[in-house]
Amino acid sequence: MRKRDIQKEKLLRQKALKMVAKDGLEGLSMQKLAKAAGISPATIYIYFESKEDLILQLCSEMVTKMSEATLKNFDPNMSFAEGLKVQWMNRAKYCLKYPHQAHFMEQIKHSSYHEKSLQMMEGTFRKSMQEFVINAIVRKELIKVPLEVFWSVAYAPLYNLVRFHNMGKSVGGHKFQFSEAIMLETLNLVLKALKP
Amino acid sequence: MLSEVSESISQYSSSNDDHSAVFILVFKTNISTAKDIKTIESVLADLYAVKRWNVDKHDVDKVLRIVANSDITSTIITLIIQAGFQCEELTD
Repeated sequence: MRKRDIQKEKLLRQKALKMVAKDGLEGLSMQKLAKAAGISPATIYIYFESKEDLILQLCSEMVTKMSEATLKNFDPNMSFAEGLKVQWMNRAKYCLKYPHQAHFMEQIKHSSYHEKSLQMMEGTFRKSMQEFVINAIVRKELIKVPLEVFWSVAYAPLYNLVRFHNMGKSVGGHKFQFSEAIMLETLNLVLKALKP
Repeated sequence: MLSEVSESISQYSSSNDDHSAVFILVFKTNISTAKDIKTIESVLADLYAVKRWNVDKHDVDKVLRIVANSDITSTIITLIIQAGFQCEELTD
């Protein structure tokens, strides 16, 4: 019988995350993962029942980390402008600090695991986001628009800046690097657009 | 429920904890279709030592993973090959 080794499990998770970020979910195989982590495929199966189990466990970890990072210093009672700024800061920090994690979740979004990953989202995260929006609408700091419109205006621009940053270039191949100044410039336009 | 919890704990506890030892046996196979799984199901159903099992259908090695309360590696290999599949132990 083999023992479970926390360090080994951590290494496996890290390597798997990198592999998925680089080669996609299809590109992840237990054999390749074993090689990358320097252990035998047999050992991986002590920790994870299957590739699917591994992906779902990673997913659950990432969802929790992402939610925690996003909610840091955030309060749903904040004014809309302040709250959104905290959100942008948190989300940008997370994506830039942990590109593999962000990439991994991006892959999950476009896979059959997406539904399950949504279910993993903690109630507190969902509730905070909903409360924040409702408060802002009640206080007349935010226009009432369909959820998809709201998200596309409120958050998508930030993720697009992150995407440009990760590519190292923007439209037409221009060199691009993310900065707080550029983020705040974009955020100000977003706030303007969402004002009643 | 209770037994399931104690199982998952013992599975990862130290090897000194032998009053409920759990073995994780892994085999590289070519079990892939739903029909294959059905066949395996009937083979493994007769083995008392098998507590739980699954086939990693999404992985290239189609790994058969068995949680058992004794080391029945050679029995498994014999039975699975008899059932018409490839089966070799994945070792450390």
